[in-house]
Amino acid sequence: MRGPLARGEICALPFDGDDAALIEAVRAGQPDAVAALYDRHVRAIHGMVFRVLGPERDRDDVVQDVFVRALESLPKLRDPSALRSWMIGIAVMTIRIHLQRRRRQRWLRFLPNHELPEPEAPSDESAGDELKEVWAILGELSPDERIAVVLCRFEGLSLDAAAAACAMSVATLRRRLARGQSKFLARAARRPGLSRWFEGAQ
Amino acid sequence: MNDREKLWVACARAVHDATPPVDVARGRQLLLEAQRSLAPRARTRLRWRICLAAASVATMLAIVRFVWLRPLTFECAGAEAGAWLATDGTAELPLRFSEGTVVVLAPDSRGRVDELRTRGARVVLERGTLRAQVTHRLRSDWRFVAGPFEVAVTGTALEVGWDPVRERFSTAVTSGAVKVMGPSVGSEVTVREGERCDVDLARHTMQLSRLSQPATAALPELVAPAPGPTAPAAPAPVPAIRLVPPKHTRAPAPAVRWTILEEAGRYDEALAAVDRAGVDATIAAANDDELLRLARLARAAGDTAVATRALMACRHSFAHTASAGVAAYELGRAASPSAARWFAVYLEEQPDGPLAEQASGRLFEALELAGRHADAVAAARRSLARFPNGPYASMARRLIDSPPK
Repeated sequence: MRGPLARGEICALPFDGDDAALIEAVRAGQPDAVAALYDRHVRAIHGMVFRVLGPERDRDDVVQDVFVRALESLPKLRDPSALRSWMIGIAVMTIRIHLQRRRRQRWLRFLPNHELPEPEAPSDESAGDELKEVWAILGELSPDERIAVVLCRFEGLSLDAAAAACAMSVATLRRRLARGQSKFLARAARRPGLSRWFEGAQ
Repeated sequence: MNDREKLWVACARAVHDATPPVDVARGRQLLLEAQRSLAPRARTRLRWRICLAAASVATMLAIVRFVWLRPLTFECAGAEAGAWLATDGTAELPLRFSEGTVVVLAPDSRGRVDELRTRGARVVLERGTLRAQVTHRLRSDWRFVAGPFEVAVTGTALEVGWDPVRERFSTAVTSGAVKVMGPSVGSEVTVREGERCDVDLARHTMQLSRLSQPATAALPELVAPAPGPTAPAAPAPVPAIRLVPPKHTRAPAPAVRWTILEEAGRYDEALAAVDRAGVDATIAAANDDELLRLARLARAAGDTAVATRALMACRHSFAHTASAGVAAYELGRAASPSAARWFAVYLEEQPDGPLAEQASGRLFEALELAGRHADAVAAARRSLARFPNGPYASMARRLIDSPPK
C-alpha cells in the first residue's frame, strides 16, 4: 500500500482492465494508462535487462528506452493480448542494439576485446565473484549468443518463446544457443570463481 | 539432472537473486515526461516522411521523364524538327536520331522530320526516296508519311519512295515488317522482310512482290528525278492486283459521312460515300476545310477533276479566307500548266501565310519548268532574299547562277 504522495510526484491510478483494455486506453491517450503499462511490465523488463547486461550504469537507460520504443510502436501492435511477449521482443531488440553499439564503440577505439573490462563499470559491489565471472563470460559472447543463453537458461523461456522474442526461427535460435552454451561452459571451466560451482555441480 | 544442468540452475538462481529492486516511481516519472515529447516528435517524423516520399516520387518522375519520356533528337547540319530538308541530285542527307535510328534522304528528295516523340518520330517524305534503319526498342513508334500513305514501323530496315507527280508510292523492307496505310491498300497492308509494295494511285493498283535486290536499289524509278508535269506516266507494275473493285461491287452504302471515313483512314470507303452522295451535292454541302480534304482525297485517288472542282469551289465560296489561299497553293501543286500562277496568287493573298516559304520556292521552280527562265530567276532572287536559309535556298542559288536555256 503506497503512502501519501510527495509534492510533484505522479501516481498511476489503479487500472484494473486486462492488457487489451490497457492498450486501448494508451491509444486513447488516457494519462493513467501509460503509467499502468509501465508499472505492469517494468519489473520483468528491468530484470531481463539486468540479467543480460549485468550491473551496468546504462541499465536504467536501456529500460527507459524499451518503454519509449514500446509507446512509439504501440499503433503497430495487432494483438493486444500478446502485450507481454511483444514487450519482451522490444526489450530484446533494444538490448541487442545496445550491445552492438557498445561493440562498435570498442572497435572504434582500436582496442582488442580482451583488454576491456566486461561489464564496463560494475557498480554493484554486492555482486559476488561468481556473478562477476558469469557476466564476464557473457561479455565474451556475441550479442545474439548472449541473449539466447540468458533467455533460455536464466529467464527460462521455451525455445519457441525465445525465438519469437528474438524475431528469428527456432532453428536459428537453437544454433546460437548451442554455440553460446558451448563457449560459456568452456570458459566457465577455466574461471577460478566458477570452478567451485562446477565442483559442486559435479 | 546432469552436472551441466546443475551449473545452469546455479547461475540462473544467482543472477535472479542478484537482481536489484527497480525505482518504479522515478522510471514512471521519466517515461511520462518522455511521452509528452513523443506526440510532437511523431508528427514531425510523419511530416518528414511525407516530404521525403513526395521528394522521392518527384525525383522518380523526373528520372522517368528524362530517361523514358524525353523526345528523341536528331542531328542534321543544325536542322530542326519541322524544317524542310531537300537534297540535290548528287548528295544524300543522313539524319541521325538520338536512339540510334538513321534516316537517309536520297538525292533529289525532299522531306522533313514532322514530329519528334519519346518512342519514335514522324518523318514526312514529300518526294523522292528515303532509307531508314530503325532501332528496335520496346514500343517503338516510327511513322513515315509519303503523300497519302503512312508506314508504321517498330524496328526494321526499309526504304520508302513517293513520286507526287505520277502518284506512285513504294516501300521495300529488308528486315522486320511494316504496316502501310493509305488509299488503295484497304485499311492497311503488312509488308514483311524481303518484300516490297508498290502502289500506283493513277491506275488504282497495288503490287506486293519479293525483293530481288537490296532495298537500297529497289526503287530506281523513285530515286530518279521527278519528271515534269507533262511527262508520261510510267507503265504500271505487272502483274498488279486490282484493289479497288468496280462500283457495283462495293459494300452496301453505310449511312456514314465521307468525312468520318476519311478521318479514320478508310479512303476507299470515303470515296464511295462521295460517289453515292454525288460530287456536286458533296461540294455544295461542304465547308472550306471539308473542300480541302475532299480535294486531297480525290487527288490521292487519281481523280484530279474532282480535286480541282473542290479547290475552285473553296476559292469561290470562301474567298478572302485562309482556306482560299491554301486552295490556291493546292491548285499550284496539282502540277497544272498554271501552277506558277496559283503559287503567285497564294503569295499575293497570304504573303505571310504558313505556306509562303514553300509557295515562293515552288513558284520559281514552276516558272523554270514552264520555260520562263528570266521570271524564274527573279522569283528565285525574291525567295532567296526572304528565306536565305530555307530548303529552297540552294536551289534558288543554282538557278540564279545558271545560264538561260
